[in-house]
Amino acid sequence: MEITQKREDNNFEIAISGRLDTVSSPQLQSEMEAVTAEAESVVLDLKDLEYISSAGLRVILLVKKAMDQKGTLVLKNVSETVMAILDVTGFSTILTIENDKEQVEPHESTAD
Amino acid sequence: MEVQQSKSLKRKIFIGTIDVAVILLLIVGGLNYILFSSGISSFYRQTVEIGAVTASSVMDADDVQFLADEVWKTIEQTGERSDENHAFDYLRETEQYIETINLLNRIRGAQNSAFTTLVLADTANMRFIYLADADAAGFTSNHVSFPGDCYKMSESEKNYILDNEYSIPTYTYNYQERDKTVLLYSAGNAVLDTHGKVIAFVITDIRMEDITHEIWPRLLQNLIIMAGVVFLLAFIVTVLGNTYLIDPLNKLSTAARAFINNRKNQKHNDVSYFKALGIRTQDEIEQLARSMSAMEKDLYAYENEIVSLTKDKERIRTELSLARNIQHDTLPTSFPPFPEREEIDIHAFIRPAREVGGDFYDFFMIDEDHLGLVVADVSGKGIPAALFMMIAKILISISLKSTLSPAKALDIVNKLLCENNKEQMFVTVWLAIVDLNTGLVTYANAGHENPLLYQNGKWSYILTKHGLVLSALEDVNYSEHTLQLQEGDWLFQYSDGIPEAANKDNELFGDERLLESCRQADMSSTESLLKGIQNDIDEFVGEAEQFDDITMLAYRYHKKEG
Repeated sequence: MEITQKREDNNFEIAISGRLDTVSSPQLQSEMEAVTAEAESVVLDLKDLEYISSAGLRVILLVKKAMDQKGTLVLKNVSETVMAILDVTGFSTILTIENDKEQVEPHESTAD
Repeated sequence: MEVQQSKSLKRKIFIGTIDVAVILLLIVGGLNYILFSSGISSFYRQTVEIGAVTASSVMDADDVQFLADEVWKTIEQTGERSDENHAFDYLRETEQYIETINLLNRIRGAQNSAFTTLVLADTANMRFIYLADADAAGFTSNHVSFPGDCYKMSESEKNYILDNEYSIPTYTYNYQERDKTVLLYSAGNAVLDTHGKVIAFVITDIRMEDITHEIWPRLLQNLIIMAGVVFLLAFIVTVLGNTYLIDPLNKLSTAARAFINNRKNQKHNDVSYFKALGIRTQDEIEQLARSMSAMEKDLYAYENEIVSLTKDKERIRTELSLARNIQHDTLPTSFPPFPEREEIDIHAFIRPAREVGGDFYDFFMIDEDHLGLVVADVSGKGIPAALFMMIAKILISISLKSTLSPAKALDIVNKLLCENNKEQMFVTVWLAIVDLNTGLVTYANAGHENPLLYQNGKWSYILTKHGLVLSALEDVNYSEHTLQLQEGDWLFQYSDGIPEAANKDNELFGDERLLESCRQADMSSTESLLKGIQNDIDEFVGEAEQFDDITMLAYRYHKKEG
């Protein structure tokens, strides 16, 4: 996993690439703790994120909880694989997810 | 065995010392001999030269001149003397010859020389010609020479005489005297007339034998004394070696053996074998003893640590094994679970990745007509997940039984779990209530996998909108869905350990394979379906390590009878 951070004032854009799993999540968590301490808005760019495990979802949840009190959290460029995980776990129902072109409402799976 | 080795070390020291001593002895003896013999040699050289100079200076020049003139004259006329040639006999009667011979005899006696002779140097004919020869008392008379006798002059003597007219260089030669060979030093010096002109040479020869006889016993005596000293030294070195080296080493070696025996028998681990020796030699041996003592202490400490670690590990293993049993016992594991209710056809399987896990399944009768089904997965693995799982399982079954609504049960459990969740663990839950009379299934999904349905002769995923995992956010409301089962329809639910089971190339088992596995499986019983899927997963994973807990539950609907 690699984490790239861009900052304008207190607006952060964090690009996460690779696998976000039990091994890599603690690193993201410690970086995000520092970010959310100052941030007014956080954008997570997940364009190159290949996989997210429950440990990764936990970090995203921590970030969301921190940002709910002081600003906004947006996920963008979410790949199909990651989107499927967010849908199954219901995370897509509580997160704001936008792609470059259009804002996507919380994804809804359709029943057969 | 070690005792033999220490003996050999003793022997090595002794032999080594002797070796060095013998070499020393040979060098000293050799030097002694060389210095001694060269000193003797130069002493003889000087003695013989002084003898020749002294003899020549006391000769009566007129007598010598007379004899020289007569011999020159006679030898020119008749050639050199032989026993047949009596031309020189007259000279031996002359007053000058007698005077000269007497003088030579006195000189020879005073100098204790072997020979003292008076000769002419005939360089032209490369010969010396005798004028007179002292009576060689003590020698056989046939070595006495007479006027006119000649002997050969060497090239070097000739050159020397021509270059430096006054002396003949010293040389040594072996001379057979009766039954033994003696070494003679020979030197010559000129007898001059009043004008300083050379008339003849006095040749003095002295024996070396007496003194060489003294050299050897003295040398031998020296060698014996030195050998004695050397062996004494070797003995002292060996004794000191024993005291300061071998004995402490033996002590250390004995202590090491005792230490090893003690460790082999696992008797005590607090006996200080090395420290107890009290070696205080203030040298490398003491250093070694200290090191051994420190090593002994470290080993004991290390061993104690290992023992305590092993104990801890053993205790944890036992506790984990107990925990595994307890966790397993909380799940319904006897099939069929309700033997008196033949229509309830259900089977479940769980395999944690570690001793204990966060996955669980559950099923229970809510009342006579309603069956509750649960499959859940706590985030993470191992003990933390297992602890959380136990709470979740109890809360879910209680809530479902009291609310009779999957969605309401999830709302309640979610709030309860959120209340005290600093670690931010969460749990995905699928839960359902089956109306055994009608086949209506009411279910809710909190972030769990999509279940599979077998209906109208085919398997498919039930895709509905999922609620958020439990224990993530407090203010979440869960929604319910329903589906209608017909006689013989199947439900199959599982945990993400199945689609995410990976082989050694890191390929995932995936939803498609799972669907295909259901289609191919033996559907003669719920148990055989699970067996078939389990086999497919195991075959796919192969040698790779199971990474996540695996859970599955199969239910086949039969209408309640009566």
